[in-house]
Amino acid sequence: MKKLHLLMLITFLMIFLTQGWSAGAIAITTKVRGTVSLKRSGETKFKPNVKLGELIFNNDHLKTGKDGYAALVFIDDKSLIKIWENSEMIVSRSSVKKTISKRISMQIGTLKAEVSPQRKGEFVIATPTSVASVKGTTFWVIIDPVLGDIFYGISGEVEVKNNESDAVIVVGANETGTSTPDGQVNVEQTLEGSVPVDEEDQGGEDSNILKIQMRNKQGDVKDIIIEYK
Amino acid sequence: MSRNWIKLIIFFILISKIVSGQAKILHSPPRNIFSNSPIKIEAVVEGNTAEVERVRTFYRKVGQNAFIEEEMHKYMGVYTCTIPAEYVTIEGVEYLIIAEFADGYMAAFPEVDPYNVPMFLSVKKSNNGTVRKTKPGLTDIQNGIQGDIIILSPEEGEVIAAEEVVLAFSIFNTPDVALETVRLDLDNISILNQTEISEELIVARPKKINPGRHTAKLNMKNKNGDSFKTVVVNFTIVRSIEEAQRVVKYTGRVLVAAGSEQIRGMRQNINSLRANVSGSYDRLRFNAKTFITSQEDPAKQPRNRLTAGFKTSVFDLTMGDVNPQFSEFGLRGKRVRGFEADLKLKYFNTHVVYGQTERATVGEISNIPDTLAEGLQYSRTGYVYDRNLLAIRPYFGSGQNFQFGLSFIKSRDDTLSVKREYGGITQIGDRSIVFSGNKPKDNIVLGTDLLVAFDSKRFVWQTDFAFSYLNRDISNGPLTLEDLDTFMPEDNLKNDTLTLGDWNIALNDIPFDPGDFARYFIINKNISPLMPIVPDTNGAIGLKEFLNMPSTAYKTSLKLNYFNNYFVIGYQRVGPEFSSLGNPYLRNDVRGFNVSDKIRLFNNKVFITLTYDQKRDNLIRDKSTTTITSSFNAGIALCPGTGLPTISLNAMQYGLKNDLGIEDIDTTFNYDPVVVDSLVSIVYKDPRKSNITIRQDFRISHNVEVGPTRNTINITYANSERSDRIADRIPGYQFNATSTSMLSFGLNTAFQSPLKTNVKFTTNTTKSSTARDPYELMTVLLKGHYELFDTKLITEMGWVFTKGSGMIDFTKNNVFMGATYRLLKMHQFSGRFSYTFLNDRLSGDLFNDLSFQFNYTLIF
Repeated sequence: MKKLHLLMLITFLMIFLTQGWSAGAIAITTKVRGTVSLKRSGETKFKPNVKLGELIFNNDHLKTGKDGYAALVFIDDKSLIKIWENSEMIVSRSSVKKTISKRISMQIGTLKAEVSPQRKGEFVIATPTSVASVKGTTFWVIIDPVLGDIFYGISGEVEVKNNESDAVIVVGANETGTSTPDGQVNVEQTLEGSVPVDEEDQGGEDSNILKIQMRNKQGDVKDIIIEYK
Repeated sequence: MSRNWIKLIIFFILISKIVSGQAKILHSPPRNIFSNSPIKIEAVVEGNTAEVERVRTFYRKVGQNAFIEEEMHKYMGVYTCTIPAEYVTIEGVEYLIIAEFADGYMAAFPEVDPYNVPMFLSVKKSNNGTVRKTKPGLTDIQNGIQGDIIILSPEEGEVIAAEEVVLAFSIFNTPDVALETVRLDLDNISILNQTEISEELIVARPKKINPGRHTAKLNMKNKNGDSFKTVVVNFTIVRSIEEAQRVVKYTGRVLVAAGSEQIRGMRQNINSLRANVSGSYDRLRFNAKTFITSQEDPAKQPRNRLTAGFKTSVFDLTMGDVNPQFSEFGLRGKRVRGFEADLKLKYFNTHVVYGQTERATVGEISNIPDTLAEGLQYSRTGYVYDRNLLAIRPYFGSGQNFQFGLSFIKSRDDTLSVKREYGGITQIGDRSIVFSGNKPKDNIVLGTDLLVAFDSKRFVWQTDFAFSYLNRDISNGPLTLEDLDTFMPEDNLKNDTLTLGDWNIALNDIPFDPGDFARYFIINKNISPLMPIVPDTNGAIGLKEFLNMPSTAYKTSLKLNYFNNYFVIGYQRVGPEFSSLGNPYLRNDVRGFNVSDKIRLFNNKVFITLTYDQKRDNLIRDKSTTTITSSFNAGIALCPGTGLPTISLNAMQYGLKNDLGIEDIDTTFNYDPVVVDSLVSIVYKDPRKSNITIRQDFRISHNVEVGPTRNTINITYANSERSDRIADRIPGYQFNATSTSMLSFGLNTAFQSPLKTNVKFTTNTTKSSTARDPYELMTVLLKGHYELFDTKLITEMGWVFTKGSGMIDFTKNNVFMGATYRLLKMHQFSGRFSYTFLNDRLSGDLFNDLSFQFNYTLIF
């Protein structure tokens, strides 16, 4: 009888798995550098060495170390999230049919979001201090549970609600919004040089590569790569 | 994996089997394996109560000695991994699975002697396997169905390190793909054997790609056999991440804006240019930003901004306009035109700022001289001195867990930056010019700060201490030792003795000349405080006197973020004479504490907030009264998620009270100056303060889908009431009791067509016991937003009606329209017109105001 139950369990699992190995995937990692660890929903420990192309499922918990960096792309609309060192976030979704409402619960760290206009559903970034609703926006957020959040708008608008005071600000392009644990919010023009720089995203739109190979007398070869538009 | 290591693992398995005899790996070997095709291995682990540490598959081609190790990943209780295609040869594949538990036990599949007798899979020869590699590349299908296929990675034209290549295509929005028809080519060679295909994703991680330009193509059909249009992505491979980063990358934006605004007939034209460029090369990041506006005026503080700088992992340098932050007491966000450098060596770091916080402006000179003074005396007012700042902060620790900093902030006005003679008026003969406006100042702030944090900053203790000296007027320079006997206020006696309270110090006994320190700080009669520390009544100085120094500031706070509570307790004291020109807006003469707790419940869906804050002034009892303010705030916010409304309710009580009693009522008897003892009137002045303000607000926001429309409803109601709490006021005392109430209703609608509308209605009423009528304001907003040509053109139009009544009486109609057009991703044009008709019935004036704004943005 016990064997029969086991057989049924395996059969059930096999049937379930054949429905698609990525069933329930929300996103996929497209860049992973340094220490990036992952804790799947229901697991209690982080597993290090997240792979490139790792699928991210509902309530997966990602954490970067002091040299960590990860970029993940959502599969339904190509919204892009990049997290830098010492960051921690839980990626979750609520989906109805083919709509994914995404929620990034970020405890601490630095995040850049390039959020596509949402076809349906919502894209929410929740921090200990604020909740940001995003629709077709590129922005940075530096999250510190002590000091609060700093939002740097790059394009579009992000609506930020402070959890303490419920005060709502809208951070637009070239604006910096602050939201602090004591309930204060503020929006002002972004100060020169204050926005973090995304080394991965300096290329703008289409680009071309000119590669020049150079060889010295010793036969050492070096490439000079020039990217131009 | 070495043979010995595997044997060791197996040994432990056998031991653990003996001990536990329970843990099992449930696995069904796959069937129908073809050569050059990856094999998916799936397993379930059961039977041991301890947590599974990890599950690994060891595989090899038949005939190989060593096994290759692959960690299995768990999803929905099932562990999976893939044996790569290159290990799946016609000779067959051998593998075993090992699970390790937290309690040290292990389980294996096959259960008996798995290393020597691993699971064997026979492999059939694939007809496609070899053909795929030699098969000509995909023919681009131009006329296929346009599927909603998203290229997740790489980006078109991306430069990627060879080790970071992942090809990922989302078919999430294309549900009817026949998965068996999927073909993925890299440079016209099929890589299907390295590709994982599911109903939502197609992912390949090709290895050993040579540097250079590459093309990936994806072809597939739907379930009816119709082909989708070929998806193509081009990218460039370089050897390493470092090489990818060594490509000079840059991005930028230039915004040119021209606008003209008219308010109540007054027109103001403002033009501006804003440009930002940032880029990177290897680990160097650089940026330059500028903002040029027609509002720049040499007679005022700068409006233009110019910043350029670079950052590396160990050194940052920014030149131009910077807004450095040291600590709240010393320097926090004040603009400095100069440079900011930060040397970051992890354990020892130094932050240096040097530049100008105020620039000299000439101000005015009186047209008519003061003839009461000797000769003709002209007054200069409204001027500002150049103010230079040097700040140095050596600090230790990165701030993640620990940071200790020492700060030195020095600000001084340049007394020569404002010329005395101005406007053609010179000091000749009996004509003199005096500075009657700002006095030049000198300031020095020394501080320390400490941060200790644990557990991802869930526990944080911060403390700051600062001590300041301010010279309120350095126009006459420093005192010399000879003049030190007149140092104290009202001590003009030249007796070669410095008198400090009860102490008399002969000038000959003072070993230094204050003038020698002028380079660092100018000492004269205008310094504050004169006495940095005030002894007690016995002349002793203890800890209490140290903590109560008049020009010190300190604060400490403990923040705990545990168990869904964000708890903060803090204490702060800023002495009455503390002053930092690097943070001139800091309130001084205040001390107090605050306690707050923010409770997050139900997975951040419910927030409860409780805050109490109390502050008092008159720290050194130099004022006639001490004022205490306190506030208590309680709030609850419900954010249940999609489909349900967000609701918040807040109540706040703010109290203000001083320590005066009924005996402090000031009574003035006015007598007839002619008739003796003839009382004309009695004037009472009641300086007692004890009032309370109670405020409540309620907000609800809800998303509703009605037919094809998506709507957001926002309703807000808020009111506040301020009342006097002193019952025994004398008759006729008039307290300014105020009450306000505000109601707002908003509806934002997104239609299926690219139309979005906003409707908002707001009323606001303010009543004051000192005003005859209330202030009433009512506003209606209607706004539409329409997108055309695939969102390249966005138009908007709207109307705002405002009506004021009661103590104010006007109606205002504002109509506006605008458009933004995006051309070729790089160019964006926008324009906006606004017309306002204002009928101010109180003044009887009518205004027709026309405003407009044009912008051009270049993005590169």
